[in-house]
Amino acid sequence: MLSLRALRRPAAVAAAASLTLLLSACGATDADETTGPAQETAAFPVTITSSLGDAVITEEPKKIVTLGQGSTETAIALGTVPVGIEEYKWGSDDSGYLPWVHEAVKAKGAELPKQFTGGEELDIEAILELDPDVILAAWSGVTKEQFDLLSDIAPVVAYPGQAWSTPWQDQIKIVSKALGKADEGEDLIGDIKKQLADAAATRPNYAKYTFSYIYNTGPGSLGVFFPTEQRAEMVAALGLKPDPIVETFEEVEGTESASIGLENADKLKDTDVVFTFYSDAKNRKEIEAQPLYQAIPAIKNGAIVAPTEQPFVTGSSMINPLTVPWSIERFLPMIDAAIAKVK
Amino acid sequence: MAVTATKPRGAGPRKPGAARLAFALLGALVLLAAALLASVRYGSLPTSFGAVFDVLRGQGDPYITTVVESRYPRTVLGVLAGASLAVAGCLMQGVTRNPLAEPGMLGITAGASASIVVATAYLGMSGQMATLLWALPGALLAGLVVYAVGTRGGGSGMVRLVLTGAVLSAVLSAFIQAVTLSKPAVFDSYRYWVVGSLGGRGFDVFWTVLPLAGAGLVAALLLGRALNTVALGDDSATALGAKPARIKAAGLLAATVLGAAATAAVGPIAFVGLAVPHVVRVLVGVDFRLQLLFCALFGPSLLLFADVVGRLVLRPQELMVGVVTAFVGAPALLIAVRRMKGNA
Repeated sequence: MLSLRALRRPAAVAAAASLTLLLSACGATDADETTGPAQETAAFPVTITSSLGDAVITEEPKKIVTLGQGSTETAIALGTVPVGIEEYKWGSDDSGYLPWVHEAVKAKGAELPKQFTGGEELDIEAILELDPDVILAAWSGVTKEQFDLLSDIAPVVAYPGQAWSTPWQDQIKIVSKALGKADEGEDLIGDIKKQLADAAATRPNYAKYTFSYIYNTGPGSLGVFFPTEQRAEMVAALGLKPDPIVETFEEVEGTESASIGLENADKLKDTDVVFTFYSDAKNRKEIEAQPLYQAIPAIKNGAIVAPTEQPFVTGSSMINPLTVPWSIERFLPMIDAAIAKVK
Repeated sequence: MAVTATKPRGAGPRKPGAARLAFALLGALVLLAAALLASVRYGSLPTSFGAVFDVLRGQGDPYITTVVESRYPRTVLGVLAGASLAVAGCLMQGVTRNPLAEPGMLGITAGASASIVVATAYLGMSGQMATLLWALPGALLAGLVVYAVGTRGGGSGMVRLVLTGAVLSAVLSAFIQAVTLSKPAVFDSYRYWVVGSLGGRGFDVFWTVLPLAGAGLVAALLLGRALNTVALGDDSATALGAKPARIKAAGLLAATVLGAAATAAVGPIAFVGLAVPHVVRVLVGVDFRLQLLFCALFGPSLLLFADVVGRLVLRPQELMVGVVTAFVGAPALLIAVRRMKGNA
């Protein structure tokens, strides 16, 4: 549980229940609304309903603050660099920022957003000082209490459904609607799909291989992500086929993954390529030393994609307008190398 | 309960009949054998007894063999930790004459925890072996500090010892809380360790704590006769030529070593050290030689059965043994407590 929590904060916070069906239903409704009023001029005032309450945005926001993940990237892609974003140290590089965010802001020649502490110890004072016009938290773990406090500062665009459970397409739709750029949001979604499809087209051989995206929470453990989880979704979008065995596993509620225990390692016997990550070098050594782990054919063959760079682990685990192009170019060589070892 | 003539207090340990004792010993051994077998049979992958026996005879399916073999380290670790904790609890309850005594009372748990938290937070420590190697000196140091401060000035100041342990634990717990609250990542890994688990540990953990735990167990069993003498009361013991202060010190030292070894290896599991000695006392009486022997047999059984239950209730996920032990052990303790009422 612990390394999963550290590495995968979004899912961890959503440890409550996530009703995927309900979520996609909400998403669909959202999409209908956003595509409805096509005229840019009619974009404001706009009301965005979330499970925590409504956000009423009366005019185009200039100063944006984002919470959680994903909203920052979509806002930048839509042309506005936020004035403040929640800090995510684990995935940041030497710049102190998530590298794709840093690169995109630098490329625009814009000012870097101020970073503040998020999560349970959300720095409300820092947000107050930034004097935002809107607070975007479409994929976040913002609580009802925080939502109420923040709503006194600016309208807060929170998540439909459960915390940390907004599908990536819905995140983009929500953020673009809040910024009065619903149409451009649709374009972004199309772009992302196209980039992934184009990358897949350069690697037609990928379709011949099955993959499992696994994780560990220490020796003795084995978890598998469902194909709906964003990191597995990214791999599937690049052309590899999810090993169908995953559908037989039982979900750990709200994580879009199953914890099956290392003794069930042989369930993955038909997986060609394993994707995973380790919390650090020691974790990798401990895990790989286990005979049962080595009993997974893909692991034994070395057909494994296991990035150790934390920013890349983070970037390849999220689908949004900035992470996808940043991740794809790094991902493909790793996958090629792993596939070369498939037996 | 064997009906024995009521002797005046301090007139020596009551002795259950030899037949009854043999029966109890047989029962304890059968229970332990069942616990060992259950521990290699049950896991997140269901395996049949037949398959396990094939593996034990060296004729198992290769994958099942790997699965069953992966259960060996936690099984031997359960035996060692269970015996260590129960014997340590027995020593402490005997020496301090406090029925609530258990290894954590000497500050061992708090010492191990504080050491792990400091190493994780400020030295970037991670990994199973590193955790063990940090927990061990922390536990020993805390135990020795409590002993040194609590018994300063000689005498049989067991109240001071218990209070010192409580004070040190309180101070260290506050410190641990302060560090873990300010560093959520440390909190995550500490929270995992502090529940107590046999899972995910390799033979290396077992071999590392074996010398210490083994020495502690041997020392404890050798102390049985001397502890019987001390149980007569300090004056009587001195009159018989024993040195009560020295015997008590040796008992506490052995308990500290045992508690530290077990806690470092599997995390703090309080209930075994508290409950097993009470159950054993009801069964075999107050002779320390018997008490310690039976604690060394029942402790592993309780810990292993609790671990097996933890592997089954959420299968294929696992519940950590520290959570399960109290549930599994509480009924036995309650029965013992009821028996005590009639006996005391």
